[in-house]
Amino acid sequence: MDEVSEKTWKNEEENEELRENEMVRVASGIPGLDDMIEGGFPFPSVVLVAGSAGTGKTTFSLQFLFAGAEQDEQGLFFTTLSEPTHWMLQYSSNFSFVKKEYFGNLIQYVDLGSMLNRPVDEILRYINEKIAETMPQRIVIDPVTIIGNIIKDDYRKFLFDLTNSLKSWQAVSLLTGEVRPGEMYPVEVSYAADSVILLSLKAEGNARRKYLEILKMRGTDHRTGAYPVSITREDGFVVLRTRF
Amino acid sequence: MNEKDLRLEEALSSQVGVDGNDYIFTTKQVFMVRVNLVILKLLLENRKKRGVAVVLDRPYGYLAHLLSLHRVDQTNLSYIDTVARFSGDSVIDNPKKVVYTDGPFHVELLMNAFSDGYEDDFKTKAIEMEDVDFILIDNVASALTYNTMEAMETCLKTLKELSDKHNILIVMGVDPHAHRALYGLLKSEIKNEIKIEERWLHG
Repeated sequence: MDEVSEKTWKNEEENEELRENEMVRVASGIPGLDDMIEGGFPFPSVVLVAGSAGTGKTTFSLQFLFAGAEQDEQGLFFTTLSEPTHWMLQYSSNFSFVKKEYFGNLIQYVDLGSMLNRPVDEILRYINEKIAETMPQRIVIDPVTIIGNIIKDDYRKFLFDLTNSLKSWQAVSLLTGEVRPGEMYPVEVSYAADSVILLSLKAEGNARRKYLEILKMRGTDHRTGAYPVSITREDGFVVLRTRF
Repeated sequence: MNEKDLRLEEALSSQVGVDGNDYIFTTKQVFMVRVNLVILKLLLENRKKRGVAVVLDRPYGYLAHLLSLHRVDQTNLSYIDTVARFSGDSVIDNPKKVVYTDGPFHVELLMNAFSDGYEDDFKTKAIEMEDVDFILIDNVASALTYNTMEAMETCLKTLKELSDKHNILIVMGVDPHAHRALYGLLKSEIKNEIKIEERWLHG
C-alpha cells in the first residue's frame, strides 16, 4: 500500500471510530431546533430550558414529550407548584400537537407539589420511584426552580443528585427554570445541566418578540445567537430561520 | 410490569435461549433499558436461572432499583459494576452481590471478574462460575466511549470462551443504526440475532 492510500485508509478507520463514538440523539420535536444542534438532544442528557413567564417553557416541554409519544417513547411530566395540572392541560390542549389519547398513557403526569415540604432525600426517592415505574425515555420537571425556592440550603446538592440520577435512568430530561428579574438564567441549574436553552422576550417597538438561544450544549456543535420563535396553536413552538 | 411488558416478555420467551447460548438483540437505543428489564425478568423468574448483569453505563443500583420496583426477584442475580466508583453517585444504594471495577476502561479485562478469569487480582472478589447460568451486558455500546474497538473485540472473545466452556447464556443489546461498527463486530462473534419488533414493544 502506498503512503497516500495508507493514510486515507487510516483516516477512514479513524472516522469510522469517531462516528461510532458519536452520541445517540433524540429529536427535540421543535421545528427548526434540531438543525441547530446536530440532529437532536444527546441521549441521555439533562437540558435546562430557562425563561421568564410567557416565553414558552411549558409549551416547549410538552411538544418535546408529544414528539416522543409519536415514536412510542414514554414521557413523564413532573409538575411542581407552577399551576394545577388540569389548568395547564386545559390551556395546552388547544395546540394541534396535543393528542389526548396520549394523556395517562404515553404521557404520564405526576404532581410533585405535595412532596416539596418533605426532606430532600425523600423528594429524590419519590422522583426515582416514579421514573422506575414508568421507564420513560423523556422526562420534564416544570419548573425545577420552584424546588430551589422551597428547599433553599440543600438545593445545589439536590440538583447534583437529581441530574446525575436523571441521566442514569437513560432518558432525556428537560428541566424548566424561571428567570428572576435581573438574572439571565438560573445559575445553579445551569451548572448541573448538560445543556442550557434560553427563551426570552425582547421589546421591538410597541411589541415584545420571543427568542431562543442555545447557551450551552455539551458534546454538540451548536449555533449561537438569538433566533426568533413563534408559538401558535396550529404549529406549536417553532424556531424561525432568521438570526438576530 | 404492564401489559405491554408482558407481551414483550412473551415474544422474547420464544427466542432467547432457544437455539444456542449467544444472543444479541437489536432495538433503538432509547428502548434498551426496557428490553433488558424484561429479559432479566424472563431469565430470573420464569426460567429460574442464576446470572450476572454487567453494568457499563450507570451505577448498578439503578438497575437493582428498577428490578425491585417491578418486583423482579434478584436473589439469583449478581452485578459487575464498572461505573459506581467513577460516578460520584449517592442517590441509590442497594446492597446486592456486586463486584466493582475501577472504571469502564480496559473492557478487555472485564471478564477477570469471574473466577475463571485470567488475572489473580480479582480472584478474592470473583463471581463463581457455578453460580452463573447467564450474563447480560447493559449496555455494550456505552463501553465505546472509553475503549478501542480492539479492546471490545478482546472482551467479546473472552466472553464467548466463558460461555462455551461453562455453557452460559449471553445476551446483549445494540442499536444497529446508532452503532454500525459495533453491530458488525457483535454479528461476527455472536450467532443469534433477535430483532425486537415494533409490535412487541408497543403492542
